[in-house]
Amino acid sequence: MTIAKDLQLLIGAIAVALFSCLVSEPSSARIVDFLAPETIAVTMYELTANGAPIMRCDPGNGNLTRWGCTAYCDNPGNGISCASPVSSYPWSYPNPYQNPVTVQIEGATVTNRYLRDVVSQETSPALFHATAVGAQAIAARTYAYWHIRTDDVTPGPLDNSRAYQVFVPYRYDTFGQGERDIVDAALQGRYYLSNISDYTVNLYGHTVNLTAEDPIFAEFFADRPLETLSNPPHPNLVGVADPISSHPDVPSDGHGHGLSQDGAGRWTRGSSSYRCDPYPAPCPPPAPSVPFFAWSVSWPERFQLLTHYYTAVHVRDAANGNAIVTPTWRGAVLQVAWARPRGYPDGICSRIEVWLQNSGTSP
Amino acid sequence: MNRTGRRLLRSGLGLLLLLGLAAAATWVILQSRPRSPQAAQGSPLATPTAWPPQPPSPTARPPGPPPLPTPAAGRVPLCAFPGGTPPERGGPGLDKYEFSEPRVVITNTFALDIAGWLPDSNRLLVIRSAPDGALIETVDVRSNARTVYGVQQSRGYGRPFWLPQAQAVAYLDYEWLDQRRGLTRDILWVGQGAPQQAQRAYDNVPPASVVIDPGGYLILFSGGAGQPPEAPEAARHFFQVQSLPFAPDEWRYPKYPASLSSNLRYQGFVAVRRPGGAHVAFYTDPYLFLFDNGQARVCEVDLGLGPGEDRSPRFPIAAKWSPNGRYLAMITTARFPGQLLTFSGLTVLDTVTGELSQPRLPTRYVTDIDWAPNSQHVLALGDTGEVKGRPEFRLLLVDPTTGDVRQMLPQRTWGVTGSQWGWQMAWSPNGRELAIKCPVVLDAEPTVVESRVCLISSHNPS
Repeated sequence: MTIAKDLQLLIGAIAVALFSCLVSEPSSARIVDFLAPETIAVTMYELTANGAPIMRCDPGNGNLTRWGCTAYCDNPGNGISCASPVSSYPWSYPNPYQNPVTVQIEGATVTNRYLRDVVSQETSPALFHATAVGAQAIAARTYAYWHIRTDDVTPGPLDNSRAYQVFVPYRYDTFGQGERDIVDAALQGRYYLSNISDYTVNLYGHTVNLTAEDPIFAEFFADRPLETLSNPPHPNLVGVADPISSHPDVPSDGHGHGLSQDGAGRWTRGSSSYRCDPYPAPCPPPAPSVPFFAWSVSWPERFQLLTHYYTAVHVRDAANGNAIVTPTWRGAVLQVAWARPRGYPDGICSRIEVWLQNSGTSP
Repeated sequence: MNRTGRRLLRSGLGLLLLLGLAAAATWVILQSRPRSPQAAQGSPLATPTAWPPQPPSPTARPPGPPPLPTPAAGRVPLCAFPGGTPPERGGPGLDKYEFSEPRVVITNTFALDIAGWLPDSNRLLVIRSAPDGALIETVDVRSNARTVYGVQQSRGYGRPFWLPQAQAVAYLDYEWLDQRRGLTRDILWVGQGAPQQAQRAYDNVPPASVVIDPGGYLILFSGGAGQPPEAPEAARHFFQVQSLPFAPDEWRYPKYPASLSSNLRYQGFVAVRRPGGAHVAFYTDPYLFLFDNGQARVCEVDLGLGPGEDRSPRFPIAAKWSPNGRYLAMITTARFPGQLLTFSGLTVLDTVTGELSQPRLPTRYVTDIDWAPNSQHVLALGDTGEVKGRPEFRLLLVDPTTGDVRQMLPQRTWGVTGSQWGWQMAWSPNGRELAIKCPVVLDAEPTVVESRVCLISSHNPS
């Protein structure tokens, strides 16, 4: 089994090589077309256990210590888990209490941060592989940038509910140090996703001209068997095959556009399970269903995940003049299969099938 | 990049691909070696084995291999049911019900929660939020007369309930012991119609040792470590006190497949007393236990596992006995603690046959349920999807024994919001009035500009 694992790692390394054999041209200092925002305004709601908005967090609604307004909430039950002790989020109340709140996107201060709490909720570092959390971090940052970039044409402000990406203050703090380290590592750098060229998109009846540096609409969702779906107005949201999500227990959960959170977890583990590695043995099988199984490839690189789920994109570094950090030619090995007679007798020829996705930006 | 460079890189790419294929082939061979067979797992939704409950046995184990960590010795046994006649299926059909168009009966600028009806079916118990606290009040839906019984500092911390003998409202609240450190203590209040005179019936209620039964009981658990709690005289004045010789926390055992965060807030048991009082259902995340008052024994109802890869244990987030005491209707769900819910459904336990029915409803989330007076039908409020980022709800009448479902007022969707699940709908005990949230919400965002409760007159066949 150790040999098999080593070989699988080798395949992973080869997949990385396939992915990164062509390093992009270095960018020179120049004026950027897109200036990444530092802060974000979020309308805060008390949330239900499925992330739907209830009432604005407001002293008059008596909900400053309810879930959604804080993860250190006082209303466990109804499917809600609260962390202890009770603590309301001290943004600005009562001086005066402000909603929407404006917080730093990359902030690390407990009461002035966005992505750390979003990523912790969307892909729990206690369940997901660190690389999948890393991919989620870039998708979440891009999603925030997109909403700020298109704020003048989108109806209604961004809020903390499942209608956007779930932001529950203090969520990051509810995890132990090991999990928090995973989130911190995932947020290193200011990577975001852009389209490969300038383009125009129709949003809510408005024509919006976007440059190749602008963020894409980086929708993401929980899970879907075998493939993702297209969201036609957006050139980067094209349905792709996702064969690793082939276990019978994979549900259809979410709209199916863009990054599959559970799918990303599977690719990074090389497992049909998003939350447990295939070696030395997958987690206990979910009785009475089929046991989890090892997949023929695994992807150890978060950019691989992102360029698989988003089409015609580059990853850029907003901390480095929006420099492109992904190669132009990219390939993702989706599956390796080798049909052959049992025992592999001498002299028998058989065919290896490799399922390869061109996840690059040129034909 | 020039043409020669590209050619070289393509050659390199080809070589790497070949190497990859060779390695993959070897790996596939190794993978194809026969693996030790995985033990087949039995369905966790096994038929319970004994009810009325048997004495706890150190060797008591559920039938079939355990799908979750091996239970500790002395675990509460699974319930088994006496068996008996399946329910009659010839009762009134769902088509006999008629619901009127809704009319607004209560409004509020801030949050407004429906806690339930009083037994007279005329007065509604609500929580009306305001900047200086949440008013717990009854509203006579015919005269619109309001009576405030108390002010809850933490709105909805405990669901208020009516004490018929005392003509009073009881509710749990908490107060800060040390706000900086997040330390609180629970207070049980009883109000008799003048909010200034609401009494502290029980100071510092220990949540692990006391369960407040909305049937008017204080259930004190005297087992486990430490001194059994003593109910103060004021509490004894308003509540019947029942002492049970064990600690419900000892019924708990690991059910999640991964370790839980150590700082999860303690979640006590919720008690629902069977009409007549013979049994009490205790539930919390992720357990459901039935306690037999006559035999002083407890058993567990296994609700099975949720769908999807996680296969987390299914558990109730709400439970209501049918008026005749035969059925326990529940909203059940499953998820790993801290994750968002991906579903919630209706589950009905027949405590005679032990059958668990899970009618298929055209909704992803069931949020509120109530029984019809005839104990045959359940009204469910269900979230059927989102429009402009906010959930839309439908009213569904369900016959759990046949699985039949009828959408009531089908031309209507309900933009129900402004309250947590379980606080959005209540059907009067006589079945003639349905109270439901019907707030006014901004077009562009899910902000409630006016909280409202609507009333629907219902004609039912019983």
